[in-house]
Amino acid sequence: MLNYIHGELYRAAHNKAFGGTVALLAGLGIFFHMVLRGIAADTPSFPYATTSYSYSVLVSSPDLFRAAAFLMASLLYESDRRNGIDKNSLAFGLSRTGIFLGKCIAGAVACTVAMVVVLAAYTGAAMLLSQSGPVLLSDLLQEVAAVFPASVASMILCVALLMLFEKGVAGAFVWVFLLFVLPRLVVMLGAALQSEAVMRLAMWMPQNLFATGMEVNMSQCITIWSTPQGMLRCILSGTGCCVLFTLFGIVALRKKDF
Amino acid sequence: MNEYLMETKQVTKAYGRVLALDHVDLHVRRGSIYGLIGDNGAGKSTLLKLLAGQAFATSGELCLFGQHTKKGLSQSRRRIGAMVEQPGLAAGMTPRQLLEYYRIQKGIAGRTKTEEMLRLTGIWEKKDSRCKSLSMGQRQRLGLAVALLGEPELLLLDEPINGLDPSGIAWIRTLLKRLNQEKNITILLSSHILTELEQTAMEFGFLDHGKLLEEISQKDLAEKCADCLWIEVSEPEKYAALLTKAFPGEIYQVMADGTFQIRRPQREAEAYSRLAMEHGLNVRRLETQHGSLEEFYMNLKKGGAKTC
Repeated sequence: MLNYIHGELYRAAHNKAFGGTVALLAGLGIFFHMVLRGIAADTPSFPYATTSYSYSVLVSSPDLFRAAAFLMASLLYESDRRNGIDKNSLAFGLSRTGIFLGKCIAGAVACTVAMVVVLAAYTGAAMLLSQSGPVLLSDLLQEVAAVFPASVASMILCVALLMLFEKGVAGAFVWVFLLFVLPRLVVMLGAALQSEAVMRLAMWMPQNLFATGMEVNMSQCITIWSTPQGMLRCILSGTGCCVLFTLFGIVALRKKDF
Repeated sequence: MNEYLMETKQVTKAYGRVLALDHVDLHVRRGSIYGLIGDNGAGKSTLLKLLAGQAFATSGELCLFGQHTKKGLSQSRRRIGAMVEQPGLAAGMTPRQLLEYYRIQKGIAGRTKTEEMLRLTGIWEKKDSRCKSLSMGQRQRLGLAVALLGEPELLLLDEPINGLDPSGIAWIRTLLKRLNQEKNITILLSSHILTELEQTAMEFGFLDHGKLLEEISQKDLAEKCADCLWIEVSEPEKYAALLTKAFPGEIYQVMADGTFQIRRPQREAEAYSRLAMEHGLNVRRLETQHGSLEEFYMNLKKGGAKTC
């Protein structure tokens, strides 16, 4: 499987769409800060030309990381079924589980590198702004640590669905349903049944977890991961999803015809 | 040399209620080029997908290099090169990058292998073009290059001449024969272009609606598809007696309508008609028939005699 992971990393490194998207996202981050800086130069009272505002854009939207993980995994593997890439790997004697896990590992590495590059560009460009306000770089770094497992889980689910469905759109619908719609439905079910157990289960789902108790704006920065217990909860929730989606992928692909 | 490198035993593949393969027993000898013949939808690709591990059989047993367990099959597939349905190309990569990707994936040491395959399959000039810009024929060549990486002992090729121009077809025929003779690579290739298979394969398997109708060697096929002469005369009984007396040793059969079928005639066609006319018989029909794989296949499909 090491050879397979090595091969996938080689493919990711030569994937122009992937590299282009990383460059685009990094460029957009830089452009965003240049715009803020430009406006502030013309309008001294402009309140948003601060690092706090810049960081708050990401800190208040943990779902962005999960969506980005889906996007990047799609860029890496979306056309594999259509182009018969997986078929060749199977014909080389690799198992479905090996291919799936190999893609997850290589994808996680590639997506992490992409995230580091984009965040480096984003936070680097934030240095153009005045360093003030309640949201600090440490809040952003904490967020990265907190949402990382959930983002990896999002990517794992994406890989599994792209291997299962020939059409990427079908996989995208299932991904949205499982990550965003289902957690809401579980909350609604818990409320309807007035069931403490169902509500507790719902609150372990990243979508609901990240939406609870978050107050990130120009005057305060309260996040769930700012306390050790909250951070642990985020990591456990994301790790649990990683395990769940990995098992889902292995079981669903075990007897899959390509 | 008679060892079966690949075998299927009563293999069945069902998609819902549709039987794509129905109790297929296929035997591919080591060192042979096996031509799998069938119409579109006959089950050729399905069978190759099962052998390549891309799909699972509903029932029956696959045997590759003498292995039939899940683990054994998986290990055996490392000795196989396959191109089934589509060549498996990443649109955004170049042929060189794609081969490099598969080389790394297969754990083959040395970048020279990539260049060797690019040259062997005649796409060296296109090595830095994007795969999506390649013609159908070039894609087939690249798919073949992928399949040949790692010096496989067995090649599974599904319609390898699809999209190739006439010179490309001749090239692939020569290449496959060379690989078979020089490197002793066993080849299983499917096609519905019978004239092409006739020139390449040593053994044939005929699939129709998921059933393997027959397996036959080139030698036996030649025997069964030998030329024959059809002659229809006014008095068949008299002509039969004349034929036996004048040309002893001729193998013939008198059909229900009185027509004579002379298999592998030992004389010119005119000799048979002259014999009839010299004895006052009218010759109504005289036709020489050259047997072919196509005729054999068509007869098989119709459920008729297993001859041409």
